[in-house]
Amino acid sequence: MADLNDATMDVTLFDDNSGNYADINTSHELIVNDGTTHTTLTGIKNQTDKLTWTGTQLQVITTPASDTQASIKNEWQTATENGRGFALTTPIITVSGQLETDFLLVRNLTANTFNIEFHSLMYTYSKGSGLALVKIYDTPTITNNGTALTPNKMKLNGSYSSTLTTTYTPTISARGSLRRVFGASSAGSALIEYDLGLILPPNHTFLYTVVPAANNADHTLYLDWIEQAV
Amino acid sequence: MNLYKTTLFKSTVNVIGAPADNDVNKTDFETNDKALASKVSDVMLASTTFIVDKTYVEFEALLTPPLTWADVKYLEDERKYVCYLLTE
Repeated sequence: MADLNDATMDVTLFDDNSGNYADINTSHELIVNDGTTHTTLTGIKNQTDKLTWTGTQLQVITTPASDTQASIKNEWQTATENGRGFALTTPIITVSGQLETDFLLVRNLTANTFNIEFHSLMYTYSKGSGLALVKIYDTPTITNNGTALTPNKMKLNGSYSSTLTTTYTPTISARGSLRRVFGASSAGSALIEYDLGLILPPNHTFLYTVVPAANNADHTLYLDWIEQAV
Repeated sequence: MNLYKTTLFKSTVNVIGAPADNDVNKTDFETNDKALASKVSDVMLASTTFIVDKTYVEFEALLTPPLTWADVKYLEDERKYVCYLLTE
């Protein structure tokens, strides 16, 4: 029997009727003798011709200059490119004292038809040697919405405006259910990445509060998100 | 040593919990006291220094002879003044 690993041997393959079906010559070329048009094999060959085998059998793929690699964008990038990505930054707000302070209200109104999918949140504050906190509550009881804050478009010339209603320094009579607490130690910032995994449906509200680590510290919150039809 | 400090906001817009008398005190400081105090760019603390927050009224009450506004250092940024008085 022929040794298929012996590069010096010409190997012939026979079918059930002992017909000469195909040869593998010493150049490792497969020659099929079935009389067909070899359409499939030709196609395979065209593809395998793009492969180069080095002396160590390492495969090198040569991409023709005419080929272009399609760019793959994630959901966040696609939505922002389509004008459905938004962001907001609160003004720099100084909190006198160190008590928990109602800071930002984010409302997805009942009549809205979009889910708000949060991408990230950044908290920045100016001083304090301890741990400053941000707390996130849902379903607060609101006495006064506070000062309106207009979200910005992530795509500056995007076609859409945000449907989210945002205000800062609200007046709250009950904060609601605590969802998350995170902190930043010393002066600086903390970044929380939700990667669209935190979703605010219509008829839901988030309240963000801050707990300063120092008296008269300055605080800002940054949020970005995309809006997807319900 | 104690480092007494008080803060005066130039504007109380976007200040939560600012003292009700902030504007009156800020005007008093700018009109009467600022020129006597020394403006500094930074305040570094020694390890044995305690910081004590005071209201403006309490802070002024500390300035009895021999202490005067000339002993006061202050930091200034676009939003506020922070006045400091270091005592033994």
